[in-house]
Amino acid sequence: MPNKLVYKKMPLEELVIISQKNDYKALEELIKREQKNIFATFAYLSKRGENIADLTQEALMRMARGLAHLKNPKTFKSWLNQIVTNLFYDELRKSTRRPVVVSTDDDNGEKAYHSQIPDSRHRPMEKVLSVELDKLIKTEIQNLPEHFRIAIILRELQGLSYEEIAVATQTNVGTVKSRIARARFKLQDGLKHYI
Amino acid sequence: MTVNLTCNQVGALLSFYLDDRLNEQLKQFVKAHLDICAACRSKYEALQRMVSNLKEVHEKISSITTEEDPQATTTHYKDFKTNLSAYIDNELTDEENIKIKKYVISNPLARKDLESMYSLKKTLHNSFEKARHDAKYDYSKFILKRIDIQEEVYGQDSFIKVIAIFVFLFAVFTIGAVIIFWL
Repeated sequence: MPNKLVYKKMPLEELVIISQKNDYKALEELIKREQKNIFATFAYLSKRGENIADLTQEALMRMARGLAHLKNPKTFKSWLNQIVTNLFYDELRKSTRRPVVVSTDDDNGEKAYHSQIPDSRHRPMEKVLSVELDKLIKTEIQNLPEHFRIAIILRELQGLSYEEIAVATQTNVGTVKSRIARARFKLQDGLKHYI
Repeated sequence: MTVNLTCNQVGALLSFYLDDRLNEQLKQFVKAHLDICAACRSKYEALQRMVSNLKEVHEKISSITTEEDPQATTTHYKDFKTNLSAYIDNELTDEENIKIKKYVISNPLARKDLESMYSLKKTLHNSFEKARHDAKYDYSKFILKRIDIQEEVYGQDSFIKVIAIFVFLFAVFTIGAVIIFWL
């Protein structure tokens, strides 16, 4: 279908504008484009793995519903990340009140299943090392204070500018700058044997 | 069995002998030659001195580069450290950028910091890429469906509202007509 390809190649801003005009195909493409980012963001933000899918779905839902009210399509990225940040803070607040739940979705079981499939891209030793390193990075990021965590993730994972991060987290650029710098120093310290 | 080595042969083996990289037998032969040949012995001693001097120099250099603490406490260095993170994000003014660049060129410690900052960025980036890749579930259909259902509900809602208004108006009208008719 040629139409679909057009959407795929469309720049983000244009896609946002068309989606705002109730074009469902554009909205579909927009969701497809952002969902991986959002999922990955929550994967590093949230300490409890079982919530990631729910949070991602909720963020995308809020995006799809609220898109019509977004006035300036240029600010889409920071607007979207404001949704993500707010959801994360809500979740944080909830989780301080709620006892820890054990998920039936067995994360480890899935990984074991994956590791049984021969993977031509990585040699086993490299794979083990990179999985270990990944775990360590995740733990180090999750051990950061939450303001630092959000700032560094919005910067490195979502690729936002300091200005956009300031808007999304409702602070100023100076604060963002120092939070990111301190987050980096902390990570550098925690990962010093690996980088 | 003993083999008497010539001075030339010993000369060729000398540096290996010094590094203790010869096999036991060859080592014995060289040692035997050194015991009897003064010329080769003095050559060996000179070589030994040179190597130990080099080692000393090397240790001195590495101790200097690792204990650059006085440099690390200067205000220049502190400024550099605070701006480094923003520098790699390209979030500094032109003037600040140039300052950092100049400082990095003249200061090996700063260069090391910059490199390790970049390497951190790369490590994080790789890890994030993988997390993105791991996100396999497609939410788009589900969300569009949910929005669609909601909009249908809204649609029905407004339809009902319009009908209700009509019914209300009709009722007011008829009541009015009845009252007028009564009078």
